[in-house]
Amino acid sequence: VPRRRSARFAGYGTAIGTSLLLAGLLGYGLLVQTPSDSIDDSLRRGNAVPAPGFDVPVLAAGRPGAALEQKLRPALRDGRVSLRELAGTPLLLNLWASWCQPCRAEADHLEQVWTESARPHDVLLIGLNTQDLTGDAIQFLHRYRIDYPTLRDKGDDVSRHFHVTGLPETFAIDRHGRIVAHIIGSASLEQLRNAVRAADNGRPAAAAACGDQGSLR
Amino acid sequence: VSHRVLAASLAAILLALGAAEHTGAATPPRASLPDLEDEVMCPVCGEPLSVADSPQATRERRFIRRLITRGYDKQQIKAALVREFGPAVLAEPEPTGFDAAAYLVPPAAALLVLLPLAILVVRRGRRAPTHPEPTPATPVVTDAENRRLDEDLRRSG
Repeated sequence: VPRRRSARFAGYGTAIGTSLLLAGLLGYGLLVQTPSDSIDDSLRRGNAVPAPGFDVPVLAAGRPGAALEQKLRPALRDGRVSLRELAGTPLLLNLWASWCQPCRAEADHLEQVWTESARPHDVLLIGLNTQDLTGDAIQFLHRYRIDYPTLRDKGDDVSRHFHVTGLPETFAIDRHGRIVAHIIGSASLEQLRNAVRAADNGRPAAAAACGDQGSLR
Repeated sequence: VSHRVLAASLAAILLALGAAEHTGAATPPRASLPDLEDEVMCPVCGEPLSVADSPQATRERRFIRRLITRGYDKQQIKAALVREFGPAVLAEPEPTGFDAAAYLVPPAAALLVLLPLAILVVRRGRRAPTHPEPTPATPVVTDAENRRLDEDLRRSG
């Protein structure tokens, strides 16, 4: 009788354990796959959010200008750049792909803001090419004469960590590595200028969607 | 002489077959787009390339065709795609993170179903009554028959 009882307990235990494992996997999957808007929520409340770290290869070094080049040189030396290496430099991180139509629409705005607002104030603009073919990405850089540094995330790890739901998206990161502004979709000149200001002064601005052509509040 | 010729011919044929097999093993079959399309993903669309219909899927197909033209085999093309898009481009889920569930859930589900069944079968087997040998209600040989048998033996003896 005791042996029969222990066999029964083992059976129930395995069944319950397996059920719990399956339920846990389902829960974990839902948690991981569900898009998060915690960055935007925090910005809406006026709080800056620590930017997720990244360490990705350089696609094109660009022409960052003398002052920024000096800061960037050690980071660029091994052909990879991490967010940690950029600590102390305010920056705009623009995620794009060559197949993305709105990315083409904002390419001129980004280049204009880079040359007129960002570079002169030592705010770095970094393009992060993602989910793209290297050849297509390089063609895009030539076609739109982009001369800010561009990195490449061959998968979509960085996008996932930044909770990006579509391309393009732009994040303003202050010198302490905190996200202070977020532009979803094709950015207007005004949005980009305000994002540069937010990155420079470290004051959080609310997230803005591409429909909002107004300033980041 | 004819035996020698036969043996030499046989040896030559075996050598030729061996060489052909060796050559076949060295050069993998030529890759084709339809063969690859259901084994790789369109990373942007999140679906197998065979069913994806987006500008990025078209570019990916063009990239694969270019590599086929250059003489890349299937594995080389897959490796090139992984270099471009990361391991997520392969249709097979990775055995890490949440994707590992694809490998864990089927055996776990099978265990969930089979284990109680096995326990049930074992338990039923134990509970089944053991059939005792049937004891005849009446003796097999009656006294009258015994007597007749003794008489027969005596007469014959």
